[in-house]
Amino acid sequence: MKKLPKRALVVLEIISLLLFVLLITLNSYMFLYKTMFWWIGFSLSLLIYVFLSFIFFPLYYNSNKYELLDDKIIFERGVFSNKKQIINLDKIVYISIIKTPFYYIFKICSLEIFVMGTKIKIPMLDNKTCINLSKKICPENEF
Amino acid sequence: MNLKYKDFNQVHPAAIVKSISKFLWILFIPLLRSLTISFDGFYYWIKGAWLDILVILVVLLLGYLSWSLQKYLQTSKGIYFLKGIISRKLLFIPYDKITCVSIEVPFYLKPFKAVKFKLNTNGGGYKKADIFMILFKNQAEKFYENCRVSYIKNNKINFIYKSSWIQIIMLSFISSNTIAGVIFVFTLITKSGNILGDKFKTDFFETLTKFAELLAFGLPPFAAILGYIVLFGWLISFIINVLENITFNVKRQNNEINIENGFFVKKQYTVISDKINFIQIKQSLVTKMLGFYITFIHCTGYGKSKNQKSVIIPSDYKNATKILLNKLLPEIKMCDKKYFPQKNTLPRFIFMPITFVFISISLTLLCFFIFEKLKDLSLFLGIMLIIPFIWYLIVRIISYKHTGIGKKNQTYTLKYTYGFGLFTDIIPEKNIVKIIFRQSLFQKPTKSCDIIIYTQAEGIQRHLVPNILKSQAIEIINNHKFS
Repeated sequence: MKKLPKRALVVLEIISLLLFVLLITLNSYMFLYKTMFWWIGFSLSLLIYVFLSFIFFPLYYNSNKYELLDDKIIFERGVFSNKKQIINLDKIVYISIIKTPFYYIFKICSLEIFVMGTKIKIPMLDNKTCINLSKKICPENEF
Repeated sequence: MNLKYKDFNQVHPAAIVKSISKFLWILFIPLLRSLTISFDGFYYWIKGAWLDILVILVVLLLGYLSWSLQKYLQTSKGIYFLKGIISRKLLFIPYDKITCVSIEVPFYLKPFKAVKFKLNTNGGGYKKADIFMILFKNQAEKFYENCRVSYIKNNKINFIYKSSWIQIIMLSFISSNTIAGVIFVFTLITKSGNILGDKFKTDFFETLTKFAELLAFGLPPFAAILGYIVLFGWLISFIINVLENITFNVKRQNNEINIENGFFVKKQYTVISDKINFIQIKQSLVTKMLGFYITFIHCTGYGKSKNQKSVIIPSDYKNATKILLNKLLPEIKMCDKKYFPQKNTLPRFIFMPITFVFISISLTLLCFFIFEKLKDLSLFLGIMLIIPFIWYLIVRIISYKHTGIGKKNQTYTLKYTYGFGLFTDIIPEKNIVKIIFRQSLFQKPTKSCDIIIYTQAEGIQRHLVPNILKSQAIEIINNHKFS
């Protein structure tokens, strides 16, 4: 099973840092500096940042795996409960590629695969890998 | 990537309104501001009005950006659709995956020569189309033609069907919130009001009562108002349904079925015949007595819009329906039932409704003798309670004769009841995804079981045929070929 590129972990760490900055800013806006509530807010923000940055996101990065076989695609994910999705290639209806602002810096994008009744999203793939996967899954596209 | 951004086409400017509506939630900011400073007076509000104006400008800007970044491209193999401001999403749908294409022309878009274009596949959600765009009329027509050209096959069948006035009125009459239920509610309200009217007159209703007295014709005014509201509501629903279906027509061309209807909003649907999951013929007790059938098709995308029913034949008699279906959809043919419930399963059909009737009668008699002051009310409410259960009992007796399964040329015909409706589903074998046999303890003596068939449709559709002999059920599964 293949993992996501290492750049995906960098992006996740950046997201947790941005979230921390946002929480600190909100905390400073809502409460007076160095009052009791300010310290509570600051501690909570720090706790959230540490949890996301050192525990949750690394686990999330390691849990996301995928594999493309001749007739099916397998995608595994889940931090607290593991989920494995297996989809036959001939049941795939259509696909989409999602590019966030991180694409322009780190060249990563997400691939969404739509089948009857559900869809799977493989996040933060390398751009070339994403296009190659899309070509194998849906050969008619010109991504 | 071989695609170039400049090759993509822009959608109609009218789509800006829809794009703006997605960001209206941002107006929560000025609303919150006005609520927090409302106590300080008008001067303080106007001092910070620049923020409100800024928020409105941001909403308008985001709406415009969302519209300008929404583009589409048609190629020989499929359709590309690009949308999103910060997170850009590029969709690709091959032509052979399209199940239904529709064009809607609302009256408010007509002056702008704009139409609503919707494209559906089996992979999308239940309530939303896979692609929804507001396009110029000629853009939509060109798009529509390109979609059709790409999947036309050689089997040419041409047939046009236009429903008559009587059929439209019958369909509207039946589908407008169940006339039987409305009459029932109307009678319940007016008669209850007759018994309790004096007790419920208060100062609050006096003014309303004076007005209603003009229209009451002897009934208690508040009950008359409620009754008229119910009837009026049904009448509006009926008129809307008539206008909606007044231009209904179906055309079969090659492997497409083109359906047109609508008065205020003209709608045109193109359904691919081999993407139809199954056909459903529906009857109620009333239509059964009148001999009418209403036929629906289940195809992803058709019947998805609000208040839209996936009708193919509005209402017709049995033989006419069969003939029309053979002409419109000769690939999916109905057959007679081969497997049906045995005589010893009749008690299973009628046991529950008889129990409900018995309980209702017992409760009515109990209330009649216990609550002496409310004898009239108890009797009346009891009768109103028993009527639906007797109706259900009649449906279940008919259900015993109606239920069954048939199979011919890889197409199943399932006949069953659900609630108060009698259904006949015609399903190609390839669309069946799961079959379940279910036998309860009470079915063991009669050696029967329920067959539950799941079909691929928008979501999963479930068809339950009860009380079939177990040996026949095994024969069905042995002859079935899962694809």
